[in-house]
Amino acid sequence: MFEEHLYIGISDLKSLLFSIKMQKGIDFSEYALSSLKRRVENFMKRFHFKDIDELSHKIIKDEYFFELFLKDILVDTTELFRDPEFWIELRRLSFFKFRKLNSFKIFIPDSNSGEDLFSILIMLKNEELIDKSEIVLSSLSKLNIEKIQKATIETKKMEVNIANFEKIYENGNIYDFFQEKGHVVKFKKELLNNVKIIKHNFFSDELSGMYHLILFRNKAIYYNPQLKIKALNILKEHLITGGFIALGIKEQLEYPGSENEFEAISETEKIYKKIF
Amino acid sequence: MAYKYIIIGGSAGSFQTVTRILSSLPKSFNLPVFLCLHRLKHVRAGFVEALSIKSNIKIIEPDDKEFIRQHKAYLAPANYHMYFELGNYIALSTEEPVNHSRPAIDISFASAAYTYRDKLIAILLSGANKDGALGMREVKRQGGLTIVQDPDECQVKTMTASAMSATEIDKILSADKIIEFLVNLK
Repeated sequence: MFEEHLYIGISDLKSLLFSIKMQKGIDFSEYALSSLKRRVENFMKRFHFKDIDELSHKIIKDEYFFELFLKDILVDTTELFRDPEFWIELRRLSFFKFRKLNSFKIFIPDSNSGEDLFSILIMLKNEELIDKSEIVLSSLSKLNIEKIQKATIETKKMEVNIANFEKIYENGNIYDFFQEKGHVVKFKKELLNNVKIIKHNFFSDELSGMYHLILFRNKAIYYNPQLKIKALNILKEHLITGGFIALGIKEQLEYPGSENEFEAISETEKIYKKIF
Repeated sequence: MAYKYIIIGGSAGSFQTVTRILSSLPKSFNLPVFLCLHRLKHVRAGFVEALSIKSNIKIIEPDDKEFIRQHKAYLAPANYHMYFELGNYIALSTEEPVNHSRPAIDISFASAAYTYRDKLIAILLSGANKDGALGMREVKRQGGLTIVQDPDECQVKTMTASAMSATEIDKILSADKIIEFLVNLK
């Protein structure tokens, strides 16, 4: 009735992460290890690896396999308009500012699925702000970038997406933004005109540009506390004063000195304004 | 054996039992209690309040990276999985649902089992799917104590029966006996 699960220890995990860092230049050692451990175990199970050395060997030797590994261990957002209350607050608190500008920039860092991207695009289109916007989405994973560029969502996942959407746009129709194609729906291509998707290692590659809004929701939950602070310190340098950053609703923007640099403009929806 | 953490999982038919357990624990009860209960995904508010009405211990829905303290109960938030990190803080995740559930009991139980080993007591209550069975097996494997509510007393038996078929359960107790056991923990 129950399959045997495969379990690895923290020392196994750390040795794998060390090899990846040395051979591939990507450092996962400061990720939240409890959930990462489970995703590595699931990956090993899926590809029938017996131990960590076997996996380590394969991903170091085989570039495509390493990309498969990255795709699996980097996590998706899971739904369009996750937390509809957040999107309503974001619109209320930031869009009037965007209206006054000739153009504005939005950054979605370290992203592995298109849901937050499609959600903000739908909202910008509905509010007639999309032509003024420029959006950059970055991801570590080539395969996730390809997936986001394809811009498709499985039809079976649309039920929850529609429920969320209708909490924001009671009389709206989500299919104004998608085309149905068999078992998937495809996000309309013309809505992606002002979007740039880049392969980027957030912690080691140079980042350029200043942004008016950064969507960083439910990303730092996969980092340990030290890495989260590093990420926030990088992001704040790329946020204009008066710009906004959004975290997940169960995250805190806290690091030494953060109260002098950010003001929580929505405590419940975790929207912060850079004040310094 | 000095147990230091308690984790409780439940689904359909478990709400009243959880409320009874929480209301029977004395104010002086100091072990952290983790609650992983299946709940409506998109209803963020109200559950902590409902559980808190009669509880003597403070119940919170933790933020990500929240430190775990004594005298508190931690309810897995809606639409997140709840993990336990070495360093004694909570880590949330938005990974895919497991057993159609987010929070999933299997994830929280297996993570607590790994982090707390033989310091953990895991209690599984009434429920209508098999979530929690693999988690219980992991608790057992890591040396924790496994308790299920007596299936004959559960409104829905699937969850406890699945756990009993997945692993050897240390104690099968009625809700009253679970409460008695917890209150008398030394």
